[in-house]
Amino acid sequence: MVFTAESQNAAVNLVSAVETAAINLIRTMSHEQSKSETDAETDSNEDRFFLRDLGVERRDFMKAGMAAGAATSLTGCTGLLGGGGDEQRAASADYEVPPGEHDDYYAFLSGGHSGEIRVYGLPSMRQLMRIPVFGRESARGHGYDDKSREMLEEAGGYTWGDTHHPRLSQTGGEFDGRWLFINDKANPRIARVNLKYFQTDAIAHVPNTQGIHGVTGWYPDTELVLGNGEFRVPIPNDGRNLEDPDKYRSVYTAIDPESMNVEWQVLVDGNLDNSDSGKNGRYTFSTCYNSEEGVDEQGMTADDRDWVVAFDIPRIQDAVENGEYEVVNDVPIVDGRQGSSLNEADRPVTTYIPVPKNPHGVSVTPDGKYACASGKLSPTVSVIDIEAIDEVDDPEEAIAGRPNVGTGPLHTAYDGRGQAYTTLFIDSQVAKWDIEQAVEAELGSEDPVIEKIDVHYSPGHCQAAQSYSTDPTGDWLLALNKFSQDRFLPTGPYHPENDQLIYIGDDEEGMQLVKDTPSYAEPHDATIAHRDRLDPADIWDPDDYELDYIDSGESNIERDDGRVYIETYAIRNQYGLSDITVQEGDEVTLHVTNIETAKDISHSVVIPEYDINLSLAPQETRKVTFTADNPGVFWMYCGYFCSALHLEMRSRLLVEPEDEPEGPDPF
Amino acid sequence: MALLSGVLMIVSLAFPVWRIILTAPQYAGRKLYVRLYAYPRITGDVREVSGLNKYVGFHFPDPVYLEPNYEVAETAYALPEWSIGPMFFVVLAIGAFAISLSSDATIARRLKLYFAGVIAAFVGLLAWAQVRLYQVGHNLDESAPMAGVEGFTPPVLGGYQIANISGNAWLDVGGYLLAVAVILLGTGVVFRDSEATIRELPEELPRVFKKGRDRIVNRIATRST
Repeated sequence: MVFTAESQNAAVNLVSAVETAAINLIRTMSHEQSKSETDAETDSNEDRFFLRDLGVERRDFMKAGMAAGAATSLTGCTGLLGGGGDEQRAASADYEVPPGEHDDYYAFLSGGHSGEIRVYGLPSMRQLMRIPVFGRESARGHGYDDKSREMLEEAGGYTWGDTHHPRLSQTGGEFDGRWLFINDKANPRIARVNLKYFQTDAIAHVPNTQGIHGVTGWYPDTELVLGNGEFRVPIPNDGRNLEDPDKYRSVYTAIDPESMNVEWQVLVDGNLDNSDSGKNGRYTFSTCYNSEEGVDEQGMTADDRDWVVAFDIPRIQDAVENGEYEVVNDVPIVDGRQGSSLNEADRPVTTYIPVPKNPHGVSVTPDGKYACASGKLSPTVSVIDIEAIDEVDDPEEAIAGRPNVGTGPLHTAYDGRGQAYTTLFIDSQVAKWDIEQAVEAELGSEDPVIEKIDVHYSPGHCQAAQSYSTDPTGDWLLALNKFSQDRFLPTGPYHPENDQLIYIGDDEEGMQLVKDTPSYAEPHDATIAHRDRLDPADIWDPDDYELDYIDSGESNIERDDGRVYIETYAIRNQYGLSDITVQEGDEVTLHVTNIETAKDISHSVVIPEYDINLSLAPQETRKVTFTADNPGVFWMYCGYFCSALHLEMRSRLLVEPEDEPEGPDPF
Repeated sequence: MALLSGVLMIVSLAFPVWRIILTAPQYAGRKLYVRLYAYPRITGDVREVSGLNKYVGFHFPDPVYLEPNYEVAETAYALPEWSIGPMFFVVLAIGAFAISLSSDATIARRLKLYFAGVIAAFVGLLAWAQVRLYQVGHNLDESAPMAGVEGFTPPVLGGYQIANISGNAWLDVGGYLLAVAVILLGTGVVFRDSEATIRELPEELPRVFKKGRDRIVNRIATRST
């Protein structure tokens, strides 16, 4: 049979006519539904049943009906009419968020070697905010005021960091909206972000390791924050044993989330990579490659097996309590290597579970039953039965399943419906597979794989909504791809990464790629939390900082032997002092409160040629100290376009010269 | 009734009598409140609103004799009578107290007169306030930063628009207390001759209306004959 152009057109027309009819039908029904809200209970129940047959809830239906573009409605449509799926969770693949509407989720993406965190709204993928962490950042003044500058200096004084794994604090296994913790792989640091203010408020500098890679809380209640030492180095790394890699060591570090003090470390074999926590307050897990303890690529990949290390945290705490450690750089280090005497006891501090090969990601299923380690150089994911770990004689027997998912599996996320999603770096795909089937199938079987979707290109992490908690919502999946290649307009030799949004809420219809998002290098991992899990403040509470609040009329200048302490405030459209006079060489501290009570009215104090940039959100107080070593007139101005009189918002800093200037005025 | 009205008039001094609610696009999801008392005192978002006022040169007024709880701009419009605002209510209240002490023989007549006086006083007050609002709105500070804002008249009660800010003026708690006081007085006047107790009021009310209606109907009937 030969298709003519006309018959094809006719077919296309017919299809679109049917689609249009379907859209209209849905719109009508959603209209009926909104009407029925005011109608009698029975009517509304009828409608609900009718809709439920389609596998959707009313709310989602409304959304599909409201979608602006036909294309969007169609996407929603296919999902809706497909039926099936989890009725509680089902939502349309409607990723359009109209102007003025809010997203359903916050997504916290690490910024890689930009050293920051990006906050996106999902499903729109709009970037909502950036949170500077390990480096100075001028828009928010991070590292420019005394407090944040000292925080960065005390944590090593590095100018940048390499953030990978943003992990939210949890209470009872669910995100509690309190903190976010993130590693620095470039330097041994772990930072804490306060989610009331979306601001980095503490950075721990970790001794005895070179950098921190994987990070996790010890869940369900985030009693500790744990960080993986990846690079093996001599301990202490003071110049000894340079040529003796056998004496290089890797440690697992525990930090108190409240004080951010380093509590203890565990010495391990191999080097640690990624980390996740069990759900019941016992084990945490780290992938551990380079069991060979090699120093080059060949050496690190020689063996077929590396490990997942299970850390028995209460057992380690007992060892610390009992004094079973060595102190190096003020940190108690418990020996958790395979041959350690602590591992000879009935209850070892660490269990080394052999898995193939140079495994990368490890993540625990939402029900807490399994830890899944992605094989990286093996096309498999090893499914570890967590309960079996201390029951089996040989740790390898704790492996309950090992599906063959595809080439280069890196990270696995969950939808809460018993399905897992693993990124395939080499195949440029995400594989969806069934966890229980993987346990039932023979090791190495491809049968548990349900489907695969192409992503563009080479995904590192994927992350599903709330997958890191006990309550995944199962609708959205982010694939954080390392390469965008041809996906965007060219921007010179540096290409953006490509973060792709995939709808996973409809198991019948399968995974649907709905959005490409270019991103600046380079998000490694993400945590996606429903907006109800967070409660950010929109202005500062002065009780949340130590500095005095300087209100209108309380400006003050104190001078004491070459030190000038200035207290003032900022409000549209002025500073509390219209000019400030100091002497050349004075050490000046400028302590400023933004006394605005209106949200979104930020101010800053910029002093040109002094590199001063004090950024102040409403009701925030910060101070900055500098030496007035250039005489002259300096216009202090507000860097935020705060009002119609923003340009007029400025005061003078007058620095009187030590010596009278010479020569006549040129004008 | 008169006694209670008097008490309400005094109590109202403790509350703001008049309020303005301002909304503007730049205050998304927020209402700015300005609450004015019978004496020179303003509460609510005073700092925020005086910041806005500064743009157009519309300052909170200067009560001249009393020190208000806000900063008075140098070019603020003088409103000296605000300083004696409480006197207005005190005098009315004293009248009410005096009436409640009157003998039964004179009270009915006095109450009617007093009620008429109170109505006149409040209507006069509102009218005067409107005049003053017109004056304040038409004497904007010429040194104000923003050009292009014409003089305007904020209403005593109701909505208005100035630049991109929507205002709405209405009674505040004290104002409602005063309104109740007036209603009580009116009720007192109407039911003075009635034997009904408060509990019987619901039944009494239609009867009073009926009585009034009958009177009007009768009058019309008389006239047409």
